[in-house]
Amino acid sequence: MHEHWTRITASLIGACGGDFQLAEDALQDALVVALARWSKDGVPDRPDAWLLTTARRRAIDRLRRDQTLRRKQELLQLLLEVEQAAASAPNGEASEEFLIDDRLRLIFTCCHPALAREAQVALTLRTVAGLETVEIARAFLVPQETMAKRLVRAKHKIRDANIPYHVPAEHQLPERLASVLTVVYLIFNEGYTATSREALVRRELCDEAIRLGRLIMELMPDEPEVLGLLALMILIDARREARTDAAGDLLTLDEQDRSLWDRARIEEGAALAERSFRMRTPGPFQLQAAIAALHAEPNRPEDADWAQIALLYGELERIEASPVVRLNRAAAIGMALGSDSGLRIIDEIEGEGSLARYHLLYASRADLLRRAGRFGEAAAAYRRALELCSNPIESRYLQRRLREVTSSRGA
Amino acid sequence: MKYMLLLFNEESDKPPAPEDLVPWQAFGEEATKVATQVGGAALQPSATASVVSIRNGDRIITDGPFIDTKEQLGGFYIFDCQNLDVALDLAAKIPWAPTGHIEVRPVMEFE
Repeated sequence: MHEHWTRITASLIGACGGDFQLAEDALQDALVVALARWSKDGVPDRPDAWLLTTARRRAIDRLRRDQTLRRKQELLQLLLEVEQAAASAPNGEASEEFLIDDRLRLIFTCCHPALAREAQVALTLRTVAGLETVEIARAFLVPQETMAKRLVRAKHKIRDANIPYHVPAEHQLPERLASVLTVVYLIFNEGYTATSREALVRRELCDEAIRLGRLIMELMPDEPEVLGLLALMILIDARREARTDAAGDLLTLDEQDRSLWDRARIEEGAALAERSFRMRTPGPFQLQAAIAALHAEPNRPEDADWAQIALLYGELERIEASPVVRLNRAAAIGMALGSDSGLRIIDEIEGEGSLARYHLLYASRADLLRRAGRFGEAAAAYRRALELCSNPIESRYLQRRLREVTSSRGA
Repeated sequence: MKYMLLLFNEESDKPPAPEDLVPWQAFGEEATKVATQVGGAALQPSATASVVSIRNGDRIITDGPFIDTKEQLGGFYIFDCQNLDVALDLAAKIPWAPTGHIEVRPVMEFE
């Protein structure tokens, strides 16, 4: 049903001249009609085409009732033209109406940079993925009313600012595609960083994000970053079952039970990452996917190719310089060349100040100190990380490490 | 659809030289290719501003711009163009875009 939903919504919004609200109302009408009609006469051969046609006619009805504004008259004209074209199409086939372009238009409009990021996320889940408002609200831990308002505001902005319903022009594509991919990755992360209590509803967000990633890849098969993002999400998701222990506590990569990793998905993700690299336009998602593949492929943690991982983080830093990427590179260098080399870079990052209150800076330092057997210094760094950490699951992990190093020191 | 492009930037003390106007003329020509300009003006520096309000029936007049920030409103354009993406492309071509900020606002239409 997911795919049908996206196709119907995308075509309908197109036929309604980009008016999200009108399309949504008309589809709601059509569903009510379908419910009554189908239970009596049975489901038609092409329920999606039936729904689209019915919804389009309902949109026309709605506009006829209320043509006060010039804009509405223009819309009505557009809809009547679409309707006429559909009626005169050979075999009355509706399949032609479901243009691939429509779904792409929908995705780009939902992720338009003129909308706030949280509105982009909500609108994408509502109209592209077809989630109910209440489901989205639950997944983002906000009241349903708040989410409903967010969606309404976004739809109004699309209408009032005349955000176009189209695939952006060539010169806008890099910036706009980046926005789309960021939204999808945000949805994935929101689901992935869930705590155990809410894990079930939020896990669906990961599945939804991967589904969106697959859809975008189907629509834009030649964009390496699209492949890179999908590869990254699949590779991370493949380790989902092994990420926590029975008590729900976080396990690091080298502690995880690798028999729980989904090997088929790892292979799929790694193959996608490789395919994207062969397109020879590296980007941040592709590099992160390649790093994730290097973590996921070996059967034993000690076989991880840390030198290669450190190199890839270096590449990533070149494209997208950020202290967090540098911190990751420092940790990888510490693993590849020994703790001291990594610690030197971490000291530099701390000296620059922007990550001075970032708990993972101290957690990374503590980790390298622990591996070097410098338990006293490691304990101090774990304590500092704990002071700054606000995620309960991560805090439990840091406390466990702190206990380990303090007891080792005592022994 | 009509959009107002509000141009914000830090103010300079020296008056503009004739050659400073060249990129603005170029922008104006560029804009006519995709939009119709229906309004626009450059403003005198914010030091020349006055602010008027009425509270409890009293007229209050103060000096200076309404919002005291580093960047000031220095001018505006109103363009009639196809959609927001066209307006955003225009905004990106304004000579101040690399140093200041351009706010793009749809103009309310009354019928």
